[in-house]
Amino acid sequence: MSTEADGIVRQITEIVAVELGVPVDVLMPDTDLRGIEGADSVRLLRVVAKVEQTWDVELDDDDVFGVSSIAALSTVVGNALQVRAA
Amino acid sequence: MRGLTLPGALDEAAAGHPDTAVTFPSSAERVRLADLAAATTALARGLVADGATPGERVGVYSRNNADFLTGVIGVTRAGGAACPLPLPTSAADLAGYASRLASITAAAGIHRVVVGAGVDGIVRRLGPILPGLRFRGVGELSGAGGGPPALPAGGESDVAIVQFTSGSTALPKGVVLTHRNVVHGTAAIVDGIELGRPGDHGATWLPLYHDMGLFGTLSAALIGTPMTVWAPSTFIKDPGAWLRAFASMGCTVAPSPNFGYDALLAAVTPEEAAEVDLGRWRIAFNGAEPVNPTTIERFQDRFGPAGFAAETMFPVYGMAEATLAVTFPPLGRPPLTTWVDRDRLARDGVAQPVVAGAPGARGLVALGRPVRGMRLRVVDGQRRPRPDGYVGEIEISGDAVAAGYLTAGGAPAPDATTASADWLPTGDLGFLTDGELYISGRRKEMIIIRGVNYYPEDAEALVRDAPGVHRRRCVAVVDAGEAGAETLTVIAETGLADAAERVRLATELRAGISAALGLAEVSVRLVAPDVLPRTSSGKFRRAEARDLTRPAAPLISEVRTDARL
Repeated sequence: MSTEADGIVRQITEIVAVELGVPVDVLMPDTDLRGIEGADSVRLLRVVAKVEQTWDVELDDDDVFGVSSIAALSTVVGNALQVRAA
Repeated sequence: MRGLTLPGALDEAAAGHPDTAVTFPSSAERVRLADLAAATTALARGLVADGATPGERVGVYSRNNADFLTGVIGVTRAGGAACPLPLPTSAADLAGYASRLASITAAAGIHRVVVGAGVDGIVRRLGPILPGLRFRGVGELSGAGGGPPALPAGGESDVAIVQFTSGSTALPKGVVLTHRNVVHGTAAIVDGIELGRPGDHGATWLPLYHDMGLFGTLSAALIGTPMTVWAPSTFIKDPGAWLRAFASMGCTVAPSPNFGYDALLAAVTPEEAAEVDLGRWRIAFNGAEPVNPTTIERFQDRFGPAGFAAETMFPVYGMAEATLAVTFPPLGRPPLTTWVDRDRLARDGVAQPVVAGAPGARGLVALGRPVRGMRLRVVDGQRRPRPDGYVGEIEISGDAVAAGYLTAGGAPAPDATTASADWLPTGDLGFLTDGELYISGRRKEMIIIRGVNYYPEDAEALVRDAPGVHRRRCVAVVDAGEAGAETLTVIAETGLADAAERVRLATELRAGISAALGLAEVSVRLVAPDVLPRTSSGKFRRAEARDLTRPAAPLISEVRTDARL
């Protein structure tokens, strides 16, 4: 488990690849995840669930709503870790 | 005798079963019916003091927590009509979501929205985008204090709930349900499954703003049967953990669209399944989207060893227009799949029985008979009844059936059909065999995914003006796969020749539709300019365009450019 920004991005990329069933190398930090075939609201919520388990954080639905890229999700995780560390 | 209005029915349940509770594990709340009734009265007083008028349509915006039920029933106690508003899903974006809310609230003439706990963040973001709406918290209104103003006496023919589950974003349709509809509709559900047997305990993780979540919950609460309501995300994030919680609480009844049973199959291994005791699960409603016979079979194989009885799986047909239930199978009967010739069904509208699993056979799951107080018929294009085994449109009638719709303009749209003997056409196609209903397709252009309706014209509106689309020419069509799973395909004309540019355009169009509609089951097909078939007046021929999406289509010169990454 990484808590550095780059590491978070890398690890979320791996989670997204597994949950959405796509190779890691098609995923860029700014790829719009909703553009991936099969990426419905259920699967995206699974991504969030895996991310929550990995970093042991709880992400509020409000924070996650509208998040459509790995970079944006990493920011949400980073913020949650900061809140926890504070 | 139960009360004849929604708040009246709650009062009666609260008087008879004051300590029976509705439990909300996701928000750690447990509300006794007596306290729920008192909370709805406090909210109703607050609403009247706030200026709410009888007949006013009031939005209810809440997660699956106690405030949702307080909001819906409190609004009706104040003489208003409650309009449950959808919460955003993780695949939607703010702009698309806000525009859907805007069109719903405009169609319903809503200017006051009752807000439950836990949605402050999204309400703050919506406020500036939807300036015509006044968001007022349940707690804020209920605690306003002051002299208790008299509450208007509502009648059974007053509107109780306007349910916005049908209609496109561009033209939302609110199903107008009176107190009589709600009381009869929930009573029919109770009757159909003998809800309220000793030890019964209802459960749901469906959103309460969805008709299946709301009327399922009300059915149990209004007869004083314990009910447990989870947040949808609790189920979606970890279906296995939900199942263990459901079983350990001794719940006996739970609804889900078919995809929820698939989610449990994907999440729970046979070994894990064997460790759960599902012996008390009595009714597993399967409805709100097409029922897949394969799912039912696999679910039984996986969870039978855990005590899941075959007759627990309960495939049903219903809709908001019926205050939910239309047909239920006979209690105690395991699911029944009938195999018919696929081609004859599609081509001739005839349900020709064939051997199970034979080539060209299509398995359809029996959905039972009309629930108490519901009448159903299958008719042809001239609205004449069809004989058994012949496909036609399903029409319904009864005390639980909505009188009409609310559309843009605000006034209830008189349904064209109510003039002719009160039959409401459902838009669904099916047939009757041995008195049981089977659904074979749909007349209206719409797909249902995860219990949500999507309309092709909304996708077309999003794609039409995209750069790269030739002269705004595009058509969206719906299609059903082998197992009944439905998809939306958008066919757009483009002059782009470069392969990379075409892939980029298709990907962009797909992402845009996905984000705005919150729908993943979308493919984009690009065709050359002037390929899309049109009528002499320039309108697209949707039925012929659909042929362009089929693999066998004679489009040799066209490259299929589904946006797969």
